[in-house]
Amino acid sequence: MDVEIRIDKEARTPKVIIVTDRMSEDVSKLVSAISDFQDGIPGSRGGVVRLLEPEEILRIYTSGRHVVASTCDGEYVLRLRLYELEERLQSRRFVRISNSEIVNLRHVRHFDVSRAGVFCAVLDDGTTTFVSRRYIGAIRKLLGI
Amino acid sequence: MRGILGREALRRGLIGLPWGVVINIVITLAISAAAGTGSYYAVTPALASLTGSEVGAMALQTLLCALLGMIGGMLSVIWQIERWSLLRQTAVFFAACLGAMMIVELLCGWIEPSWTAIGRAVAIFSALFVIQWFVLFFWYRRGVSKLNEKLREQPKQ
Repeated sequence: MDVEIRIDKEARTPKVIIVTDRMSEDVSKLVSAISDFQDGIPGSRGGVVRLLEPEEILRIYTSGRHVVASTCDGEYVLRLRLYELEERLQSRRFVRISNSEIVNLRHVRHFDVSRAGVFCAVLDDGTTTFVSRRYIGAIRKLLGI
Repeated sequence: MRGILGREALRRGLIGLPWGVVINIVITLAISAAAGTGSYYAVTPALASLTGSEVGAMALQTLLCALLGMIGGMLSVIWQIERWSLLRQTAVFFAACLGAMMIVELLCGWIEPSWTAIGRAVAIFSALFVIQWFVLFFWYRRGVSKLNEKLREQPKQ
């Protein structure tokens, strides 16, 4: 593996680009090591892996066998499991709202309850997502109620 | 998920079974005390004549109340079904409870077997559930307002 460092005075934050012909176990380990060093969470889209900052993630949900993070610039597939992400992001104002989803409270515009008694959260990008009554207590706790 | 709910329903049903018996005894004691004659009115005359004896009537009533407690316990698992709306949960729980209650009330002779009495019982039961639903709904609405207040206070980044 060749390591190259390029000094660019205009680069505000360090950026790591991994050039490889395919995803391998070594590349995965390297990505994990970098993400452990950083706060970022590796997410992949169209074969490209990017470190996602917690602040840019609106919500994380399970879709079939995948765990997906929804950000302002699209959706990324994550490698970690939902419960692992929940533990990791707890201090970053992420809270579980159902068995299959956690949301970033900083990106929740408001909560609502329909006439049928269904709770939902409306996010900054206009998405409305179901909130289970079971997790209202956890949301209240995180908001300090 | 269905398996877990099924096991939970069975567990709650077994807990509800003895409670049905206890509630039956408490209610019969309360009614007897209210009558003020010093006698214990465990069963209605209608049930006693149906079974041929007061002992038989009490045995049947106890069994039915135990079943009612079991059914009530099992039905309570409806509130655990996450994806159902409050309205759906209330409607299904209400309909199932009403059905079970009406059968037991008629068999035990707690209400007359007439359309007027049945209609009155259904109306009272329905009113209780409508009140419960409204109270819960407005309580949830108030809870959501508080959440939104706190959301507005938090810094975005």
